[in-house]
Amino acid sequence: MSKIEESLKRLSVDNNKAKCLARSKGEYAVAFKETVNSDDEQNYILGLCGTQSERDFRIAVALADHSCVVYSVNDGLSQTAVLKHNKSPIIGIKFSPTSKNIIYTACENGTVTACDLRAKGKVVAEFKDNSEDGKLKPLASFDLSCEERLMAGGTEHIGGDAFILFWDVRYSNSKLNGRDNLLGGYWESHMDDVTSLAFHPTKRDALASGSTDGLINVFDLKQSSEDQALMYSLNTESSVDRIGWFANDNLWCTTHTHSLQLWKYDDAVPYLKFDRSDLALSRNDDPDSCYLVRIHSPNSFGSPFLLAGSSSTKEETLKCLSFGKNQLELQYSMPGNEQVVRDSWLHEKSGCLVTGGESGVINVWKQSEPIKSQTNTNSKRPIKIGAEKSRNDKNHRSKPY
Amino acid sequence: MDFFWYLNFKTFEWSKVSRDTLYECVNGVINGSQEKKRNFVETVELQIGLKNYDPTKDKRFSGTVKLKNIPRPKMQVCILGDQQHCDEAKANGVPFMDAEALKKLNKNKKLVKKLAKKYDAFLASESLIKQIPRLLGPGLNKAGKFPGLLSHQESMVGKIDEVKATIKFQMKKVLCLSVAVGHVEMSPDELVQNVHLSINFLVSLLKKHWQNVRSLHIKSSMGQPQRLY
Repeated sequence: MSKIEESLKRLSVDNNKAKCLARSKGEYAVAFKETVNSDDEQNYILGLCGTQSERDFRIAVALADHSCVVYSVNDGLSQTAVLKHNKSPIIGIKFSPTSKNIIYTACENGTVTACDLRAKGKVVAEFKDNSEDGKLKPLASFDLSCEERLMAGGTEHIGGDAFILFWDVRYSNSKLNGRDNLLGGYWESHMDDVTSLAFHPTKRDALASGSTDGLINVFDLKQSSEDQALMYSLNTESSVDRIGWFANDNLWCTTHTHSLQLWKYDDAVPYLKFDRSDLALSRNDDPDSCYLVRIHSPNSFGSPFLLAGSSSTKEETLKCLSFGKNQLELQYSMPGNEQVVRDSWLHEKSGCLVTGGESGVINVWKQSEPIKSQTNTNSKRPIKIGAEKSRNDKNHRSKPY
Repeated sequence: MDFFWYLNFKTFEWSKVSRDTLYECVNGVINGSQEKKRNFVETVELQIGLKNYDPTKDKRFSGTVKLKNIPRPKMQVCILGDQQHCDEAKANGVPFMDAEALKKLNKNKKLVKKLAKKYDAFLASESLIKQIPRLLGPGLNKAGKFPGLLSHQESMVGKIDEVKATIKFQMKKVLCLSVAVGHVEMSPDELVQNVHLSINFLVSLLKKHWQNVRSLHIKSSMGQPQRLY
């Protein structure tokens, strides 16, 4: 009798699983995994970037110990360079949009450096604010314009001002030529730390900035002064963590209270807004352990999706969500995540998603077709048993009788 | 029955600070301020000390939260309104300005700064909020007073109260944070509600929740701190 009951239970669990699969449109599976730090558990991956140009690509991670590691990805991850020249926390990392051999890193101490990977990561250019003698403004964000002419750095609130600084990438003040490459700055549009900067992916003179003061500002850099350049201010009424452009002039924004807002850049309210509680898709998800990573918008295929996770002592989960009318919907499940993910990057040509996080783990995820994934689950059974068990336990706990 | 049990379980898990402790501390703060009257209404602050948190690599602790009871009743909110909102503001005795009045400032930095100084916050109609950077330049941004949106679907007074009830918090490079959650003329019940809501919200934002909390205190501007946790 008890045996029958047990098998019935198992059957119902299988049914539930089938429903979940039917709901998610596909699955991302871990293709490669690499741990950057075997010795230091506390060495988080804070930032991640990659090269879009070719089928095989490079990725670079910025670590909490101020170093960067570069990998090439083809049939696996192979380490190509370690950059150790930075002396303070790295707040931004980005490959040159025009060369896979040049990588920019921005540091909290106020300097941005460009390294050449062909020359073992030698620093080939350095950018800093040399307007005041020797006193650098602490940076909190940075970005490069689409054709790599302009570089912008957002500073922390210092001495009553929060700056957005601009440099001309072509004139770096390397040790060779002492030229002044700081073009100027804006300091009236934000009143607190500028935590995120995003140049428009195609319009080279459009820049968006986000700050803990809650504003997203959109600038037209062609204008001669800050007064005229400030085109739109979008009030998120929260504290802006990350921003980015997607799908024809729209902006996404994540806040430090784990909410997501989608804006048309010239609008008065976000056209979509999701709170932390919206990230909990099922009853078993605790909203207080859910978090956001960022939005990815594949250009050639599919619609934009949100990478979000949930972190508790029991498990670390990760998923890709798409935007329904009033709710988030599961687009891809991502079984096998084992850390709090801090940053992610999408290789647009292959659809590979790369994640990095607080356990120092880099995961390269590849999409598997929804039909295939059903057969896949059978082979993965042994790994999932633990998870099923805990789900059973939970069911028992909430309904003891 | 099941549901109740779950709810209790949940609140039990959340409230490391008991109801009794909350009331005891809130009363301590109120009594303290009554014993030594100041010639202003003292603010009540919640102070939170963190542990196992590294500002150089952990996510920022920053945001806004709407409280149940208004902590700053004296806040002056000005409406930057279209015709309909200006009429409504006039009827309600709320300060307001229309697009014409804003145009008259002529993007003059001194005048915009003066306007920003005069009020604690601004609310603007949809048609105006989009024009603010054009009409006023970055002056309100710089003052940290860029308006919130006032739509025609919501009540003006309700929205103003919402602005007044919303507090901002942000931790910089030190491991402690102080937020104003009320004032000493609020009732103990109101203060307890605000303190409770703030604690729960702030703790929910921390990665390891209560394991990141070193201490919790409440105090009035001039009074002694009372330890909650």
